[in-house]
Amino acid sequence: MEHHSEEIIRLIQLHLAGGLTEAEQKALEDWCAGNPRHRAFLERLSHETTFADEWALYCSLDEKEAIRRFEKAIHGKRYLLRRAMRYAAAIVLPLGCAVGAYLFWMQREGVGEPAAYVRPQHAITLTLASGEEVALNGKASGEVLVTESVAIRLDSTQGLSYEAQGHAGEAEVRYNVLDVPVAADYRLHLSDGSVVYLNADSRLRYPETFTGGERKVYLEGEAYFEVAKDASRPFKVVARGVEVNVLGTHFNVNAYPEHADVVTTLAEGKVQVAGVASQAVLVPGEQAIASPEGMEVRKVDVQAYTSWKDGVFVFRSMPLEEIMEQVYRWYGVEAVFFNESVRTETFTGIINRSMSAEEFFRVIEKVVDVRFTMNKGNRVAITAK
Amino acid sequence: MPEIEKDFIARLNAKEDKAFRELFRLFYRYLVVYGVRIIKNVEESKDIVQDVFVAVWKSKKEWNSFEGLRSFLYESVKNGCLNYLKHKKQEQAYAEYYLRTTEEAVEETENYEMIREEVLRRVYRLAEELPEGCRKVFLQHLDGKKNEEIAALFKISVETVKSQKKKAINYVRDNLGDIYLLVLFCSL
Repeated sequence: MEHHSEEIIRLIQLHLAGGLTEAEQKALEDWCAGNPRHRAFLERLSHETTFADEWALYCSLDEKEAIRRFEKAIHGKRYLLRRAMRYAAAIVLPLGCAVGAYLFWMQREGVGEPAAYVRPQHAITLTLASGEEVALNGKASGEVLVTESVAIRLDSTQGLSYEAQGHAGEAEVRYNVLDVPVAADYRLHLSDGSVVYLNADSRLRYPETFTGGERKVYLEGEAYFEVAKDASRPFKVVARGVEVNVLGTHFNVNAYPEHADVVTTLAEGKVQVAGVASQAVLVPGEQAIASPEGMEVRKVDVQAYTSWKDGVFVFRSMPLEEIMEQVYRWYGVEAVFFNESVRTETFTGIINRSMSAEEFFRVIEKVVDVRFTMNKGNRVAITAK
Repeated sequence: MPEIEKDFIARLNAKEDKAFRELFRLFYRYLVVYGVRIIKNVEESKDIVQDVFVAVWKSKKEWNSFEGLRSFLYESVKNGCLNYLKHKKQEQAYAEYYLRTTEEAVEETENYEMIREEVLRRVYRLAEELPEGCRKVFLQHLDGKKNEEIAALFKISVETVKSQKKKAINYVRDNLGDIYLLVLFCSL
């Protein structure tokens, strides 16, 4: 019965709009013929004359305000504080300080002293197969490790690069892990010539040199891949159970943990995305959204998803809440929303990643009716203007 | 059930804030309009709809289908409205009339009512996406106005009316049943 209703809803809707095909017309007629009540119902519905009047009412309703009211009702006022505390605990406790100061600041409802932004300096870390950890930032160019099979070099402009040496050690695959923290990104040249841009708060596990019939790497977070062509050895990216199979191409994989989906966006070439239960082949301009339940493929503006590697943020009607997730990753600045309504405000524009956090906020303030106030500890209070 | 609906229901069952926002975007405005049609009071209708959303959030019930949830929303809003009318009964002749006619016919109209509200809700959702000029014409057309009447009303040519109508119909055709597409449009 339920599927049946769906189809009837569709037919009646088309009937009202006036766009039924002959076959559909026939189907609707059959439905009416089957029961006089059906016909009477359709007649009544066809003679509704309230659309133009009700439209004004429909438009006057503010769902954002309704959402605010709803969230206040279900979470209560303590909700904001709890939510903020959860984030605060993740950041402040490891640093071992300032929880009390933070609470004091919270109680003052965001009128705290404006503070200057300090870009966090967490180490970009390379973990070698031996388990040895090497901090890469601030390090001058030079060799990190040279063995019989590989030379790992650091270059201040090129990032980290791997070069296979003559002796391809077939026996053992030696994995390295590159760990890029919040507020940084990093470029990596793999031993096969492929280039990987790792976004902030992301990790890549990969072999020093690729052996065997495939090139396989493991991603947490987000990365853009420019894979060197090698038809005999397919390139594979594994991210949270989703596998992207490649021959030689450019694409972005976003597998940040706060979203249930792994999102693959293809710029050039062709890739196959395999989830747990489903798979899809993408052509340039397409994006696959793999969730635990299935896979959705859609056409997207590729630049909006890959521009981060070129040093710009591209936002297209993006809610501030999501923008602030990216701000957290790139600037290490954490958002505290003082008005729930502000979360759903959207912003469209392109902002250079070389701007400071303050400049970034000024740009958004020009367009959206919000105010950003930097506070101590790299938190920013966001209020409605 | 399509995967995306399953996913949506699962997120609602998990009481995810974001899923509830999507639910608001899908249903809130139409449900208020629906309530206003019954009780002729915008503020009361908003309150009734709010209460229904809160009830969904507080409910321990696990939804297992999108259709089930949808029926629940329509029915709850209607019940809320009927309750409101009962309290107002002495004051309003209209309330009596509405209560009498609906109570008599509850049994057989139930499914029709769901179909009707769902059709109308989607028409509004789609109308939202149309360009202004196109939408004006489309709404008058839905109200049964002839091309000539619409042309006279907006002081445009009959040809323009026809082309705007065609544009609207094509859009409706292309996006029928694609309720999630609309959510995506709104949230992108």
